[in-house]
Amino acid sequence: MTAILGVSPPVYHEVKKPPPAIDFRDVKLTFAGQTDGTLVLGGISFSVRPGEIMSVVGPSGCGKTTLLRLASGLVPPSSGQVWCNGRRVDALNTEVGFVTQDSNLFPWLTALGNVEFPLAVRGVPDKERRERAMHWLELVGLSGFENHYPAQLSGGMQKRVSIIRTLVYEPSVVLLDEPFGALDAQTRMHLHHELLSLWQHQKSTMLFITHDLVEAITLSDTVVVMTRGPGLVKEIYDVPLARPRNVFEIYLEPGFDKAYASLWKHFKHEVQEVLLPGGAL
Amino acid sequence: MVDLAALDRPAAKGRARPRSMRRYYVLMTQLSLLLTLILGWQWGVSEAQLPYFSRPTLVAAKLMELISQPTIYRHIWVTLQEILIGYFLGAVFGLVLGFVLGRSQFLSDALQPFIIGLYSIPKIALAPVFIVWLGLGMSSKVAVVFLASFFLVFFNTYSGLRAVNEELVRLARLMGASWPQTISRVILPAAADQIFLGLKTAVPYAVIGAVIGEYIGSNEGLGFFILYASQTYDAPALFAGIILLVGIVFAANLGLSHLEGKLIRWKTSSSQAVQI
Repeated sequence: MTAILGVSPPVYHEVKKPPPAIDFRDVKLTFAGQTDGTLVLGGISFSVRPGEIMSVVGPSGCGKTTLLRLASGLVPPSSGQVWCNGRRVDALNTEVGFVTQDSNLFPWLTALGNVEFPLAVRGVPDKERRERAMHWLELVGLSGFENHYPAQLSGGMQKRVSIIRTLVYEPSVVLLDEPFGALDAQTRMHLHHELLSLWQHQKSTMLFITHDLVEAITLSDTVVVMTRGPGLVKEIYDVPLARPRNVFEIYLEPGFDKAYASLWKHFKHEVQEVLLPGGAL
Repeated sequence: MVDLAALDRPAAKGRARPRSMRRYYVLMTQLSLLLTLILGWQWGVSEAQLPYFSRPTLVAAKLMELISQPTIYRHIWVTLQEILIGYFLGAVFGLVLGFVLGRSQFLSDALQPFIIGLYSIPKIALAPVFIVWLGLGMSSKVAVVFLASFFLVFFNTYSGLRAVNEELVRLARLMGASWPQTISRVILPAAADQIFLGLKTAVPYAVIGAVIGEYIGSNEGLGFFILYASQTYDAPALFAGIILLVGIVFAANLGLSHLEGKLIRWKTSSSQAVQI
């Protein structure tokens, strides 16, 4: 039509935005049952911006962990698509790093051996591998423990090794599945602090699964609230807290109360049914 | 730097005796028990005038006499060959099949009834069958040794692979490990404990297999030597032969433990062997 009028269309010089680190596009997932399937995820759409920390909160059994398995290509979606850095995830996605609920260290390798593992299988030369692994061990205060086997390390130390084993090969997206769930409150706070410093150090994208609202607010730029099964996105909330944050006194940060209150407003309906069936909270 | 691991060791808490002292007491107890047994045997037999029970002094004399002559070495060598060849083949086949079935759910399901069927047959009881098939020579004994060790290595390798934490396998794959790397760096180390247990448990069974095979029908080997001693009522030679057998088992286990110690230094808990 513009050609008919003899006017050429305006040319927009689009600023080339990097694609989302992870992009869930109307992802549905059904687990096959005996007679019919169980709908685990009922159409999830959201994306993780490169370089941000995003948390997903939701009641147990809402399919939070499943999201990470989809993003890493361990499970294919029943319908919809998962994209990672502009590429569709249709096989094992080695661009992501996965930090599991349990530390899952290789018990036959020392702390150093564990951190070196991903570098070794990626063919990094011995000397460089050792230097990089030692550097990360030092960052989390584990110098002197490099020759300890996992069984000789405390739970918190194992968790540190497990996290840096993933960060050491600098995956573009780090997926963390309730990594601090089993730790005591003190160790947890320390690890929140360390995770944020490591993130400042490396600026990798992180997708963090938790059921703890305070943890989500403390760490993230964005929080996704999910509903009880079948999992749906209920709310995407931007955390207004400035960085760097003091994780030890996060509740004193301006805006924390408000953030907590607005998240809880969405979240309480989800936990309510479990706590008091049919009742008010 | 504080060694946290050291604090966890019971020794550091002052509960147990220092390790070196404890080991010394254990060793002393073992030695005195052995001495009591030997002295008890010696004394009991001379007091009770039991025929054909021999005496440690007579057995020792016989042993000295035997090892100064070449005949016994021929017997030892024949039995050793049967054990080594049969055990080696059994271990290789057991490892390979255990690995394949341990990783493949389909093959494992498909072959399960057959394996359970074979599992319930006492392998040693098949020795006469092999004598009929393969004759009185070495090959029939090798077959019995093979079968006995194969099953132990197979079952332990299989159950070791079944017990591998799949989460570790998935993590390794996500970290970029290829399948060959995942097998050599994750799956095999994770199952190594149980595999070694199978290899070690199979040793005495291999020896039993060879000796029983020789008892049933042969004209050389340690089993033949013992049987011959029994038929000629030569009690000292009988016991000397058994002591030589014990020596073989002992040496083999020592060798395997040494190998295991070199390969598995991280060991934290002990597994239970699958027995036949």
